[in-house]
Amino acid sequence: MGVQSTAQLRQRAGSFDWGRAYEIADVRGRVAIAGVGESEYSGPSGRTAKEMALVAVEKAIADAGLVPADIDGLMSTANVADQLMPEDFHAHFGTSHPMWYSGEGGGMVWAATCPEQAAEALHARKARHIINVFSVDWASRRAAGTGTPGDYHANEPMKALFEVPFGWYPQPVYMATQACRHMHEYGTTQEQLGELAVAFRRHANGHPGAVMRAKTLSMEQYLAKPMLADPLRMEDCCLVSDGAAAFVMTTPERARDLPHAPVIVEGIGRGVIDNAPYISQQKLLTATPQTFAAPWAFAMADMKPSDIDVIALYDCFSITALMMIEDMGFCAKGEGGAFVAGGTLGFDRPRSQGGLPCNTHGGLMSHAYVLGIAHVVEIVRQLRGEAANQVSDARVGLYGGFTAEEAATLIMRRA
Amino acid sequence: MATFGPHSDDALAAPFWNAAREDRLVLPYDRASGRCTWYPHAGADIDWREAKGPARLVAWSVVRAPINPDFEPPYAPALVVLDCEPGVRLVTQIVDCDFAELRCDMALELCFRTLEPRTHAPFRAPVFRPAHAR
Repeated sequence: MGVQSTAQLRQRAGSFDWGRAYEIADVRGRVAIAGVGESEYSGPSGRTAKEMALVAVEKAIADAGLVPADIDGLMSTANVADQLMPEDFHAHFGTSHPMWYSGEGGGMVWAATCPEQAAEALHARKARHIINVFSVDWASRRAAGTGTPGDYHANEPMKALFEVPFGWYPQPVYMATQACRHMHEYGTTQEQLGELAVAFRRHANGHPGAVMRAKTLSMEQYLAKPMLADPLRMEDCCLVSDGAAAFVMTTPERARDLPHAPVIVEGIGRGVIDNAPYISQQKLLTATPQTFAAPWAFAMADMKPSDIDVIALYDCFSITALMMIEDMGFCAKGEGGAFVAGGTLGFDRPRSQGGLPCNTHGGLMSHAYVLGIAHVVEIVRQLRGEAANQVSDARVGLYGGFTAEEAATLIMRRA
Repeated sequence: MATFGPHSDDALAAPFWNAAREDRLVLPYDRASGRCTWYPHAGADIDWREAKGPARLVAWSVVRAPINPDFEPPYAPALVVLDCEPGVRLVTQIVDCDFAELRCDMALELCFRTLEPRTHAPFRAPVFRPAHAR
């Protein structure tokens, strides 16, 4: 199949009446991930975002079989504080070569979409090896009283004018109201939300890097925990963490000469609600912008949900991941609760057995809250066959990213 | 830090909160199209008109843990739709009820309360309570 135009992709992906897909160019088969690296993940640690980013970058460069002088491209999330910039890279590694940079990389939706810009830069010969990095110091900030994950929302003018005064803030309240509606419309139950919490915690228990690796969680324990904001418990919410991760992108041809089997990008999609960024106003409270993002990614990859062997979804809250499973087409809208029941998401329940291995590292809820960058790293490890909770014969993986009013999908396959 | 609505003199919010001080709910209507635009748009020619209940409860959450320094649990932030303006979804609170009686799509009536956040001065606000048969 030749390169698809954005018109063709839009035709295949469809149109929607409460949001839209971004026009992501067809980069299928044009960019590969050749190296991954992670810092230690923890609660408050006193480490700075930049120092953790450099640890992850060092490891990713080494994992790719490269040296710092080989890295001539950098991507990070420019509108998040203290992210790695080219001058930080050069100061740390003692390099000074020209460094292509994009501020539309890093975490959240950008952990999924950054390969589009990277592919363009690689093929325009602006860079040969591009590193994408995201780092988070919110655990330390919250402990020190200098910042919280809610700040982004409290600083939005309309939210501060019309939402924050009523106590509709911070994020657990947003998702709790979505869960309320989802339970009303579809009969989703507490136990079904608990299936996600228990499944991801079990995965964390088997992952040496997960923050919650030593704390087990049974369904009985989950149901006995107190409510945080009805119907969500603290165990339905993501952690607050310190940590960083990075991945190196290059052309598939160049990746073939590097130590690890390349992981090839097959599809990317990104979507946004109408009336963004006000998720209070989104027409369907029981769905996410994956509704608009996933179809574009599947169209680019020329794949269907049944082609996917392993997924990593942005589980800021259990209900978010459940709704994404529906919105991406792994099950019908409203059937997410029944779908996740009975251990469907376990790493040891492959697709051939009717399962859908999900967040095999433990997710934001039990591995670390680094806003999706570690999800991409986990999918790469799964496709290489080197994951801690390895899914048997994982060939195609998917990351579902999220940023409240937006979502993005990244589909990758092992070479 | 963006300004807390009730204490803002932002032209997009001041009419809303000034009216609330008089126990009135007003919504922004675009003079050109006659339609209610929510949230109000900067640069639009806005006519703020009074709106009244009844309303329907779209969704809510009873906050039970101290996740917000301003309010002491339990309290119920909610999303509500006025019957007279179904295209607008208001963020508000549900008051004067046993939270266990709340149900999606239940009928509500508009009322006003003085909310007392811990880190701001008290302010009058349009909130809702379950409508009861008379």
